[in-house]
Amino acid sequence: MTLRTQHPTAMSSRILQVGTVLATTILVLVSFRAMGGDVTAVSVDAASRVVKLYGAGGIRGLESYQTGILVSPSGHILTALSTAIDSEVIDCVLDDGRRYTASLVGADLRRELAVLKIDDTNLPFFKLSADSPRQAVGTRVLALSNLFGVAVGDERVSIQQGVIAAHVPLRARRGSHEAAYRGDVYILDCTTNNPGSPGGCLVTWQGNCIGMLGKELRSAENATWLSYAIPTNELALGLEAILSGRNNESLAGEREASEFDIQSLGLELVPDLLNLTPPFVEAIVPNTQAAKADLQADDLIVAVGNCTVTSQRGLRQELSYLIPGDPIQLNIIRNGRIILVDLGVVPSLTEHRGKR
Amino acid sequence: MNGVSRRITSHQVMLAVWLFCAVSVNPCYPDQASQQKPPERVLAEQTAFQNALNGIADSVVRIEPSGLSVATLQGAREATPTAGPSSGLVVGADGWILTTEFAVPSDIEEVVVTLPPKKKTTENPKQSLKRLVGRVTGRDLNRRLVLLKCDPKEPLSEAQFVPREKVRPGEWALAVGRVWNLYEPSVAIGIISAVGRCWGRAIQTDAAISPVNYGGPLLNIEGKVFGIIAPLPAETAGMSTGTELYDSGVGFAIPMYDIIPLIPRLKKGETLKPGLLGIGYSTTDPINGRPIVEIVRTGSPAAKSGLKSGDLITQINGQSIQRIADVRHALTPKLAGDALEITIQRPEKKAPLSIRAVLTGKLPPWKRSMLGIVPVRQPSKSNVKSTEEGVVVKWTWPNSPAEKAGIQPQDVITGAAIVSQTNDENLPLRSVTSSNQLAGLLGGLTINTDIVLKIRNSKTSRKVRVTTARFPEKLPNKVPEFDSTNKKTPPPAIVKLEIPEVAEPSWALIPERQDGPPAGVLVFFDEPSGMLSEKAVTVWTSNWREAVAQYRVALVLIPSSDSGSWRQADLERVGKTIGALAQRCKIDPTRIAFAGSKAGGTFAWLGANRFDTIARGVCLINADIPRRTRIREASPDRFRWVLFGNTNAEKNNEKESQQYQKTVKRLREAGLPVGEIPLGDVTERASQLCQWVEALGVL
Repeated sequence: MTLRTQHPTAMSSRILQVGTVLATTILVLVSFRAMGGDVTAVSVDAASRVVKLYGAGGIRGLESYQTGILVSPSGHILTALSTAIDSEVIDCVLDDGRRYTASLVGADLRRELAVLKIDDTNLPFFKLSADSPRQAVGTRVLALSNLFGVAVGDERVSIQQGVIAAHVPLRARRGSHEAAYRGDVYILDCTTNNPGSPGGCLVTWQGNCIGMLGKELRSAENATWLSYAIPTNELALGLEAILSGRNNESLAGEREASEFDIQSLGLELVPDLLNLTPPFVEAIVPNTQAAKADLQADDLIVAVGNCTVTSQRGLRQELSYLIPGDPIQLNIIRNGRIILVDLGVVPSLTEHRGKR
Repeated sequence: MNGVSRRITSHQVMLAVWLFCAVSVNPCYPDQASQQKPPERVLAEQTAFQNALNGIADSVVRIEPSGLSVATLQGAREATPTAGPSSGLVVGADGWILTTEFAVPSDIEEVVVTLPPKKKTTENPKQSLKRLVGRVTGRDLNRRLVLLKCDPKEPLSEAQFVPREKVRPGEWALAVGRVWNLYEPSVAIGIISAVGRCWGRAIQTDAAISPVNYGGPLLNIEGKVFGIIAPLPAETAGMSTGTELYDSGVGFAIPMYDIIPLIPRLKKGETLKPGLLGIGYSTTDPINGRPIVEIVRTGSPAAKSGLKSGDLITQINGQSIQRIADVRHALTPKLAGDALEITIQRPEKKAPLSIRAVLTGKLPPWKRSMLGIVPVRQPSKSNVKSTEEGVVVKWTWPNSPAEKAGIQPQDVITGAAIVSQTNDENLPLRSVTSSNQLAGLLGGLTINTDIVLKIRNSKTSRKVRVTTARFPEKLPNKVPEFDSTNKKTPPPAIVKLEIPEVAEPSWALIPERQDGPPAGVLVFFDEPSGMLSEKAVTVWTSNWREAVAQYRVALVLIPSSDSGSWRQADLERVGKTIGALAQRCKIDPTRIAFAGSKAGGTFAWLGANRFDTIARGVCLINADIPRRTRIREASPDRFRWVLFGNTNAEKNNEKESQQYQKTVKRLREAGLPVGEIPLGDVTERASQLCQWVEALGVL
């Protein structure tokens, strides 16, 4: 905005206008404080650390804008890795209207995070710590994001309120989301799965950054939309990995799928003809782990460890996540009762390859 | 506020600087937002939420289908993408668990129940969880609840319940489930939005409700249970499963004060069914309609209690009744076996009568009957003054009881009475003022019921006794035309019917003589083609012009929103389109039919079911009903006639023919009259369908 030479009377009216605006703004802020107590201050303060990001033109209905979190005073921005920032030029606008061109520093494909950089100093930011405590279910939260791109220029991002509905590893429901990320997330009870929300900031009512809003995903299992945030400790690990150039490390506690399969236990299932053939035991090979555990023909497997399975496909998938040395505990239904069957541990790779 | 923000943008620079100073107290920016202490209320509420959640945790279980039940459901599963894990609430320490039909559909008898962990852990859960088989002992079909029994080794933890007087709109409401995480329950927070929803069966909340917490408890802030979260249909447009509303700000829970008295019956193995009375009304407007009973189903609790057509309901169980909606409110929460004290006002009596009816779970089988009277057309809002009493006969159905009794065109029916077993012919006649009213009076009857009609013609007045016969399944050879000889009749006109928020307008070909009798309506669904241009409509309707004028039928063409298929959303515009048509020309509500060809025919069937009190008949041309759909039993206030049109002289192949026979059998078993009509070329087909629309008015 350029200031033009003003006519004296226009100038005085300008001063009057500015005065009015100042007075009105003070009134608005005061009344906000009265309504929300210090929560207003918390959200205003947090919003100064949240930026609006604009990529170049969306692809076939995908949005070209999202949100980001300032994580260093020198302009590092953490955001969700998505098509919106897959662009030559990324515009970044702060809550005071300052506009920058951001460059991509790097990405963490496993956590689906990206780090951008704008050139400035002394910027407001959130320091992310890898040992941020886990927030309890029922904690009241504020979600700040530029949902639907309604905030423009120096307008602050939008604030939603809710609670943490659950803390759950996405891997516990693996296969149900089209996302690479398999770590822990906070599920929220407010609707944050909106265009523009990814990369938004989740804070407590005390103003601590506890997570980053995730992408628009829906559960394939019951077809409901997911509102979730990636916790700060994972964000910190991802940030560190990107800044140090290690951008593809696995998540804490994550394990590769093994080649272990059910036949190596001595267990044969009924022919898998349908999409959802139930995991009924057809036969047991003598002198195998299955035989020793007293599994019997016609047993119906309902759970592996603590994961319920309803089909042979689901059973195979659950077993594939076990690695050598893991205990194998099955819940089976026999004569109308659920029985816990202990099959010992997953044999080592050489062992069960040898058996084949 | 708008004014303020506009000004702010017009002074961006100065304000940015000002805000910068005013807002950021610390110019060096601490690395967390300033550690403000939120108001104590906020933290106190948060603590209360978490305490409530901890308190209920041991009473919330997870319910899942086992592999076996999934296989049983396989067919159904494709149609219901929502089936999956759900929650349940402990209502008896020795293993009684309450959940919803969502987790345990009607064909499932056993599910897997996962109990809460013994030790409360949130991080790195290593303990193994106890799973039990839960067996269905009882169902409440009215509230979609299921009681399960499992056999735990140790007693389960029971919850405390909120009494009726403490369930108030505005109270905090916590929706709890155990689907996300087996080790700790999930919570969504909102308030009680309303009580007495879903016709008196549910509490409404704005907490996020979805398959994640169906079957779980809705708590107050003290951790006591308001009710069980359930997917009840809101009975708004197109909702049937109740899951359509998930996470929308509208969720329902069945209040514990209604459930607790039912638990002993569910434990005993009862299946509780919605209580049916067996009455119907002549109006389809439940909100404003006066609760005057028109239809009384033969053999129903209403008939047994002595309720008669024409009775005005004034009280049910002491509650005052003003509108049909009040009757629904009083009736819907009731179960089969419940007794009702109904106070009525009978037209010919001065003092109110009190009668007692015991509701039933299943009404005796009913098939539509007829006398064979086809009345003249009457407009929807009866502008006809009551002074012009009676129903004028336009024609009588060939070989019908009416024709045999000598009823003639132009006869006026002014009174009617159902002859009771006493055979008393001097019984009081009820005066008849409209065909709708006469339809109501006859509607609930089965065949072989004797009726006395009072008939007046230009010369005499007489009483005639007729016996109801089976409703026809075939069209008569010839249906009388409307002044076809009148050469002055202007040709039919094409009109555009636009509805707000719908991109593709519908079209209608209407008989253009506004002073004539009201038009019948034929809503036609062709194969999906997307937006229709006026030119395309002109071409399409060219073969219909003659029939539309001859039989005074408005032909409505509804386009699909998608060019390749019919969508559920397209269904919703049908009602509004008929409304738009009624603005444009007078229509006869007793002669509205849906028809369609191939995919459009199947869609017409869905439409007729969606608008089953508006559509009087449905015609499927070279089409079948969707194979898996449940066919609702015939009832007096629903559509009356299914017609299968076939343009090929012989069936295409044996398989199709077998499938067709199967469908016809299913429809007949549901009590619906099913006809088959060999359709001629396009012009003849138009004539046949328009004649059928006229014939639909038969009583």
